[in-house]
Amino acid sequence: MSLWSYNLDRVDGQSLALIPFLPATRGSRLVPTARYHLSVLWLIPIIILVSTSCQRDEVPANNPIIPPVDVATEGQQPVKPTQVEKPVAKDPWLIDVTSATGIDFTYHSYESGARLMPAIMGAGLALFDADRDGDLDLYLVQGNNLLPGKGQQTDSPNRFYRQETPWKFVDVTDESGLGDGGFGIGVATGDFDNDGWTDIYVSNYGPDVLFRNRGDGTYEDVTDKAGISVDGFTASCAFADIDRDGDLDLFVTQYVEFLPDKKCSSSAGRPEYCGPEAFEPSRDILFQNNGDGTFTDISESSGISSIAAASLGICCEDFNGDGWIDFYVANDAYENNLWINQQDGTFVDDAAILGASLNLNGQKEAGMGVVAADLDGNSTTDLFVTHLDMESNTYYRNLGDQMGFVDDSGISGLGPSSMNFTGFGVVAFDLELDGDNDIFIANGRVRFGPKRSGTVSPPPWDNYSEPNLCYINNDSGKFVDGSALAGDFCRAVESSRGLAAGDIDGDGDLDVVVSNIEGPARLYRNDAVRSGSWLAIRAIDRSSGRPLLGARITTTDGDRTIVRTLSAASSYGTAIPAMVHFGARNPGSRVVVRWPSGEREEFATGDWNRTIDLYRGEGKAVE
Amino acid sequence: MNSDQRSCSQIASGVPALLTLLIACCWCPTTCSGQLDSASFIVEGMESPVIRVIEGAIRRIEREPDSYARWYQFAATLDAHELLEEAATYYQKALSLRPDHVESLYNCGLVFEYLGRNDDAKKSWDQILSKDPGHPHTNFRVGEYHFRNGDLDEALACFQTFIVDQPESAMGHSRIGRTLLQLNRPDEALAELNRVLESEPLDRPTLVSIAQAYLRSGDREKAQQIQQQLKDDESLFDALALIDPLRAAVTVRAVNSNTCIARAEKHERIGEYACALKEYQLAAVGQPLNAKIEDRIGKLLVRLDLSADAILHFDRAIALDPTLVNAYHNRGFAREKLGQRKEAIAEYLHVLEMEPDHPLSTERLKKLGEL
Repeated sequence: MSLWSYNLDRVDGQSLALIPFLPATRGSRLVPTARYHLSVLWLIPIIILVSTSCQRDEVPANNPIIPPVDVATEGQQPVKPTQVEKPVAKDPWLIDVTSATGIDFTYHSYESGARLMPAIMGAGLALFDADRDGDLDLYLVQGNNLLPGKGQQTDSPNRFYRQETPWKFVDVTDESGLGDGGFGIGVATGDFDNDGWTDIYVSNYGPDVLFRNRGDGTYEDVTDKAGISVDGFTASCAFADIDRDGDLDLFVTQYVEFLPDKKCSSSAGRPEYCGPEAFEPSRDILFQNNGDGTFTDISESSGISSIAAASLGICCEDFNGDGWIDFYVANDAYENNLWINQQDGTFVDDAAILGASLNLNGQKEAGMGVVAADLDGNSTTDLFVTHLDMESNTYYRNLGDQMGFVDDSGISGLGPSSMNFTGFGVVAFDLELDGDNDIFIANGRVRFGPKRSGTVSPPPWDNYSEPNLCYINNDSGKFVDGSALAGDFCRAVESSRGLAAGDIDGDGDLDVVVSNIEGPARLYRNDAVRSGSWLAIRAIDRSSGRPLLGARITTTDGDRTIVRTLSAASSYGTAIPAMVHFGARNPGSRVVVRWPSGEREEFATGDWNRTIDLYRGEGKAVE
Repeated sequence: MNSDQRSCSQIASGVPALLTLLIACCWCPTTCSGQLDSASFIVEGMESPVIRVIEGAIRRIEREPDSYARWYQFAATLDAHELLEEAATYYQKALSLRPDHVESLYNCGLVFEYLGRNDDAKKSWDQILSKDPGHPHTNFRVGEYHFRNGDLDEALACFQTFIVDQPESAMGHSRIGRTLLQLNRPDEALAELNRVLESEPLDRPTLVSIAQAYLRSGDREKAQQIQQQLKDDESLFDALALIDPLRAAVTVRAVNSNTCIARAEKHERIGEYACALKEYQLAAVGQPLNAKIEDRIGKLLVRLDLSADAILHFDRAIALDPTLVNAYHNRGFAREKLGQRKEAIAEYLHVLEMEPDHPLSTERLKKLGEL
C-alpha cells in the first residue's frame, strides 16, 4: 500500500495551527495588509518584557569574590595573583571586549567566488602562556592568497599577541617570528623539547610548521630539523605523551585529498563548497618524539594510518582509565575514531564497539569540533561533537565501567536544539563556578543559507553566518539553552570556527575567544554571576617546568567528585590553556592528581580562589 | 473563519505564537512583499529545467489560485531543490486551502525538521495522527522526534505502531532495536537488530549496534568478534541509508524527472553510485511506470552490493515492460552475485531466447561454462 493511498479521504477539515504564519491574500497574489504589519508592532514591548522577566528569574544569586589567599602547602607553589577587580556581575554573561584589547585581527579566506574548500574551513587559535608570565597570550591563525586560482593579494600571516596587562595585548608577530604565511587551519601547543617553554605546531592546507619557543620571546622554525614533513590538508592537531616516556608526541589529523578543480553544487544547482565526500579521505599522522628534538613518523606502525577518514577535530584523554593517553577523532561524514592506546606504541580504533563512532540512529555525521570532559558529573570523561546543520550536535555519555558511550543528545537537551546550526569550535567549562561544565559552541554554515537576522559578516559570508550557542548544565548532565542570557557571545551572527576558553584576566573565571571567517577575532569577558569558588591548577614537572598534559585531577564539591584533565587540545583547530580549572559551591580541601606516568598523589589545596602549581613527586603518594 | 480571523485567534493564544509570527514575517520577504515572482526562487547556477518547473508551477497557481494541489506542487518543487524555508511557506499555503491534506502536512513536517524546527514538525505530524492515529509513516516520524528528544518510551510506542503496518521494514526494526538499546534492554535490542540483518546483512551500522548490545549484555567476547568483522569485512556499508523508503517514497517531489536522470547518469559516469541512485529514485517518483528507471536502479543496487533489493526492481521493470531484455540479464547477474547460479543461468538463457546475440548474457554463460 502506498502512503498516499492511505486514508486520505478519511481526514476531514480542521483548523490548522501552522496557517497563521501567512499574511492575508488577495486574489492570486500574496499581498500583505496594513493591518497585518501593524498587528505585529504591539508585540515588541511584550517580547522585551518577557525577555527581561526571564532574565530576572534565571540569574542565580550573587556571590562576592573571595580575595586571593597566599597559602603554601606541601607540593604546591602559590602564584602571584593577577586578578583584577571584577565589575558587579550583571547580565549578559559574556561581554565582547575586543575593541579595548589591542587585538585587531580579521581572518581572510580570500574567497573570490571560486568556492575552494579550504576557504570555508576557517581557522583556529591558541590561547596559552607563551612567556611564562602567568597570563595568557593569543596566537591567531590566518588564511592567505595561495589557493589555486587566486590573484595576487596582500599576504597576511598568522598573528601573535602578547598580553601585557589584563585585556591589553600587543602584536609581537614580527619580533617573535611566528608569522607563518601558510593557509592556516589549526594550531597545537606543547613543550616538545622539555625546556619549559611552550612550542607551537601550525597546521595548514599546505606544509605544516613547528615553531620552537626559544624562551626569549622569539621562535625558531624547526620543522625540517625535527623531521616533520606534513604537506596536506591538516586540520586539528594535538601534543600528548603516548608512550609515557616524558616527552610529547604529536597527532596530526588530515582532512581530504583536496582537488581545486572539483566543482560542486547544491540540489538546486547553485555552486557550492564541496563537502568531504567529493574527495578521497586522508589518513591521520602520528609522530613519536625521539627525545632529542626530532620526531619519527609512526603512523603506520601505530595503526593510526590504517583508516582513511576526513578528520577535523581531536582530543586526547585516557578514555578507558588504564593510565595511557587515547585519542578521539571527529570525522566529517565518516565514522569517528576512538584510538585506544595498547601501551606498546600501537592503537586500536574501538569507537564502534564503545558506541562513539555513530549517532544513536547509526548515522555518520559531519564531525567538526570535539571536547572531552565530564559533562554529567559521574567522574568519567564524556564526548561532545559538533556537526552540520540538519544534524544535531552529539553528546556521547560515558557509561563508565568499560561499557562505552551512549548517545544522550536528546535527553540531555543538547541535541535537537542544535539542528539549525553548524557547529565548529566547542568548549566545556564551568561558567558560573557551580561545579559543573557548561558548553559553548561557535557556529557558522558551510553551505549557503538565508541570511540570519543580525549578521555582520560581509558578502558572501552573511549567507554563512549563524549565532553561537551556549548551554548551561543543571548539575546532572541536563542542559538548558542559555543563549538568551549569554550576551554578546550568542548575539554575534558570524561564520565562527575556532573557540577557546581561558582565564584571560586572571580573575578566576574563564573568558572566551572566537575566530571568525572574514570577521574579527573576538574576546569575551566572563561577567556571569558566580555561584561558588574557583581553583586553577597547573600540574607541572619541576625539572623541566613543563605542564604535564594528561594529568587527571580530582577534587570535591560537597559530596560530589569533580574530575578534570590537563589538556591543550580541544575544540576545532584550537589550542587551549594547559591549566585545569575548577568551580565549586562547597570546595574541597584536597586534590588527587594522577600523573601521565601513572602515579597518584594527593595535595592540599589551601584556600580556593587562586591559581596553584602542583609538582609531580611532591605530593603524598596514594594508591 | 477566514485567514485574518484565524490569525487573530492564534495571536491571542500566547506569546510563543506571537514570537513565531514575528519571526515568520521577517524571514518571509517574498510573501510579505506580495509577489510570487519566479525570480525570487531562482538561485545562482540553478539549472534551466528546474527554473522551467518553478515558472510552470507559478503559472499554474496563477490560473488556479484556490487549488491546494497547485500550491502543494509548487512547495514540493521548492522542497526538492532545498529551498526549504520557501517550501514550508507554500506547504502552509496549501494547507490553508485544504487543512487535512496529508501530503502537505507530512512534507511540511519534514521540511520543518530539516530546518531545525522540530516542535513545528511534530505539530504538523500530530495533525495527521489526530485523524488517523495508526498512520504508519507519520508514526515513524513522530517516533524519530521522540527518539531524538530522549523520550524513549514514546518513541518505542510509535515505532511499534509503524512496524505493525510494515512488519518487514528493516528501518522499523532498526529503530526499535536502537531504542531498546538506549533503554538498556540489550537482549531485546539484539532480537530486533538481528531482524534487520535478515534483510540487510551488509548493513554496517546495524552490526555496530549489535556489537554494543553484546557489550552491554555482558558478552564482551561476542562484541569483540563483531568488532573484528567490522574491521575486516570491506563489503559492509550503510545499506539502510541508501534504501530509506520513508524519505524517497513519501516526499513526493515535483521534480523534472529528466533532469534527475541526467544528473544520475553524470554521477554514474564518475562512479558516484549512491548519488546516482538517489537521483534515479527521485526520477522514479516522477515517472513511476518507467521500466528503464527501475532497471537502472536495480543495476546500481547490484553495484552497491544490494543484489537482493535489486531483484525487486528488476522484477518491477519486467512487470512494466516484459520486452526489456536487459532487465532479465541484470536480474540474472544479481542472482549470480547472490550465489543463485542455476537461476542466473535460466535468466541468461531466457535473454538469448529473446535476443540470441545478446553479448553480455552470452559472455556470462561462457564464464559459467554453459556455452
